[in-house]
Amino acid sequence: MVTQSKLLIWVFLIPAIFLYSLFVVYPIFSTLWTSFFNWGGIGEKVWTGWSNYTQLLSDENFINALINTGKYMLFQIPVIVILSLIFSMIIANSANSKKMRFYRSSIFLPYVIPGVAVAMLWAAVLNPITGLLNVSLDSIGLGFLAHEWLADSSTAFASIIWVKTWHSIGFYTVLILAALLNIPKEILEAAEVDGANRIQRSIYIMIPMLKNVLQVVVVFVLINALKIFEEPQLMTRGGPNRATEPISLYIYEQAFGNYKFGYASAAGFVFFVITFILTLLTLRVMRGRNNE
Amino acid sequence: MSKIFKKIERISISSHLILGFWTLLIFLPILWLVFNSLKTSADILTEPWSIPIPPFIENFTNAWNEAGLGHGFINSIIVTVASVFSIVTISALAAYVLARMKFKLNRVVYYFLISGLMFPTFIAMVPLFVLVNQLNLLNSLLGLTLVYTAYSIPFTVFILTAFFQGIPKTIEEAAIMDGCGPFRVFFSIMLPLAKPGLVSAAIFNFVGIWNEYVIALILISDPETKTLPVNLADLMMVMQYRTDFGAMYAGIILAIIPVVIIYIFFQRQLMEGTTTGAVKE
Repeated sequence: MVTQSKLLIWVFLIPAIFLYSLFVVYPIFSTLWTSFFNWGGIGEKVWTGWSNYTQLLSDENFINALINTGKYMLFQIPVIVILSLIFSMIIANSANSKKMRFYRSSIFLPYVIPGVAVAMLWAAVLNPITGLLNVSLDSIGLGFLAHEWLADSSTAFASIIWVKTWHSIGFYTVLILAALLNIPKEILEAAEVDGANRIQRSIYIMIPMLKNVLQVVVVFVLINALKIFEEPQLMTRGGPNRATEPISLYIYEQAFGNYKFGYASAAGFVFFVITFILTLLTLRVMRGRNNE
Repeated sequence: MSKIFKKIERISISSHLILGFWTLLIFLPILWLVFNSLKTSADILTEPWSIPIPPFIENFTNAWNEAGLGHGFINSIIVTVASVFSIVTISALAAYVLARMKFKLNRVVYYFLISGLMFPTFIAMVPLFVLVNQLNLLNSLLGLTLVYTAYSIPFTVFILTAFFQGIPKTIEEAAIMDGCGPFRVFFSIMLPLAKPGLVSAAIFNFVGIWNEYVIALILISDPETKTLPVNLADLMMVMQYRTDFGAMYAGIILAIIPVVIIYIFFQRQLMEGTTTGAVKE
């Protein structure tokens, strides 16, 4: 290649490096520093060493929020893996491609809708008096099943899992579908010639070939579960009795509800460590994929 | 033989049932919301199954004016368009250099820039707020645009670098032979060639930023500069004490319409954009 001046390279790179370092990288490191202070946002910062961290470990609400985030992960993995696997296999196997394109577009649609709108839509549907769900149950004679869905801790938790699934299943379906369409046709045709039917082809040929993409799906479910915020904030306010409060909402409340900036930063840093471990896991999974 | 065909037929009928049922679960709540957004609050309570003819359009004018969502809508448009423009420009410059030029720190800069892909906003919530406050950019659309740009750099650089790498080098080399300077090569040769990639990146970021809630919630508290999602969430808090459901439902529709229109026209780019990060990494 023809020589380029070193200067020019940096002229092209500096805007990206500058903005990214300032607003993304610096705050992450600053979180660690802030976590050693007792600070309400205005006034003196008081150095308190590890005290925020020891307090966190004995803070029931923090532990509860961590457990809730863990529960979101655990419940979402099977639900999302099974549903997206079924949807993508049906679409990939279908002969009528026009109909299937319609289904694919429909399933993906909620994924582009704002999280706030999704949370509000479902809060409206689950509203005990005016909501679609209870009104429908009433009018088909199943009124006795009507329930204050978001006021009872177990149905509130299940509702949030459901809304998250409704919102994001299209993303995972399209992800698996892309991998399915990459499976060489010859393999499937060979199996067909050998007498394997549709279901057999799905179970014995497709699923083993999807091992890698399924690992990616699991990692994405985990990472996205860390980010759950709009649904519990808007649908349940983390309640009832903090039963649906995830770590993200806990940090937000500590910082901007109680103005405990140092304490919220310590919680944020613990969260960072967890995310970092999950990221390493992601990289390992991805590397495993590339080696094959 | 005919037995097998019948079996296959049965499978495909049940396939349709499964996907059809899910499609119903997607469209039924949305349709119900659209209908309710066109009814008076009294009708929402007493006639849940009625079809809103004639439609009660006042819900939308109430949402736009009284509930202040008009402000939010316009703020969201400004921030989203400005952010998308700066994200694509800044990321394209960086991605071009990272895809094409050999220099010692190339890989280091690349991995540094894309390492931000995985970290949720919540980690650095407090320092981000403090920093933006020190820069005097709280409650400012400019501040929000800068932060959105910064947060979108990792993914955009990632997909655009891959895109530039896919463009054959010969065209560029011919231009350099003909005496084109580096800026001309970039602006008049590379950018036009990279147009499909730039469009994908722009569409993908448009939807992401239009939908963004948490950062805007933290950085904006002035009603004049709130974006639509923050305005909507506020409205929901108020609605727990008042009962103008119709206006709230209309507000939700207002937030959904722009992204649905984009989805209708750019479905392929959106699906590819969301999945490339996962599949190609």
